[in-house]
Amino acid sequence: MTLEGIKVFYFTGAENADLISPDAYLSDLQNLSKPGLVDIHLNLLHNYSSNVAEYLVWQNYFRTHQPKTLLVWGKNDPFFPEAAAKAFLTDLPDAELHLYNTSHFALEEYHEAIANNIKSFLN
Amino acid sequence: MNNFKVSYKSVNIDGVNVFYREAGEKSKPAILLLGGFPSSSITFRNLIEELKGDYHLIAPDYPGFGNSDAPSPNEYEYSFKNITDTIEKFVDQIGLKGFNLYAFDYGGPVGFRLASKRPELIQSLIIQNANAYTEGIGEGFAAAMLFLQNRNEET
Repeated sequence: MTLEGIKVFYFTGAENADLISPDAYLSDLQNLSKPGLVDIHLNLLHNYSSNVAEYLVWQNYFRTHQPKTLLVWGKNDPFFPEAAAKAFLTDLPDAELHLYNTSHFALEEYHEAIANNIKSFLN
Repeated sequence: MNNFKVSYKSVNIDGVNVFYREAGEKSKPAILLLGGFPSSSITFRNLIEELKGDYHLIAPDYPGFGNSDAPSPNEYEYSFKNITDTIEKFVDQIGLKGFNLYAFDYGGPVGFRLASKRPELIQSLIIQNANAYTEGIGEGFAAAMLFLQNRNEET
C-alpha cells in the first residue's frame, strides 16, 4: 500500500484538501509498512465477500430490533456513497440522517459537526 | 480532570495484544468506536477529544491494524467473522455491558455481526460510511473487488 493509495481514501470527495491533516494518513502508511501487513490486508479484503453474504442477516436484525440509529455520512465517498446511507432507511425508517460534503473519512473535515450530531442524538 | 485524558492501553485476547484508546468517565454512556481500512483508531482522535467530557469512549485496533499485534495469517485467521470474535471477547474482557456502537467502514461488518449475535449489548447505532446493502456498494469499491477477484483467478 503506497502513500498515494492511502491518500485516495482521504482526499477523494473532500471539500477542502487544506483541512485534511497528514497525521492520520502518515500513521496509516507507517502501520501498513510493517513486514507482512500487505498480505494480511489482502487476505482480509478478499474475505469481504463474506460480508455481502451476511447483509440479509444484518437487515433482519435492523428490522426486528429497530435499534435507535444515527447515520452520519461523507456523501462523496466512492466506496460507500450516499446510496449506502439511504439504504439503511429501508429497514430503519426512523433513523436520523446527516450528509456531509466530504470523503470516506468524514471525521477528518467534519468531526465537530458529527460530535454535535452524536450529542443531540444520545440526549 | 484525570478522567478527561485519553489513555492508550492494550489487553491480551487469545495471545494477541489488542490496543485501544480510552477516554471519559466509565459512569457515562459508552461509545464503542470501530474503524476501518486503511486506518486504525487514529481515525477517532478528534472525535474522542470532542466527546470525552460526556461519554466513555473506547476505540480498539483490530489485529493487523494500528498498534495491535499483527500475527501472521498462519497464526490468526484474517476474516471478518474472526475479527468479530476477537472484538466480542475484547468487549467482554474490558467489562462493557452495553454501548452505543459507532460503525465506520470495516466497523460495519464487525459491528453488525456483533449486534446480530449479541443485540442486548447495543444501546444505539451510529453508522458512518459503512455498508449493509448491495445497493450501497459504490463504483470505487466494486472496482477494487473486481481487481481482487481477477488477481485471485490469475494466481
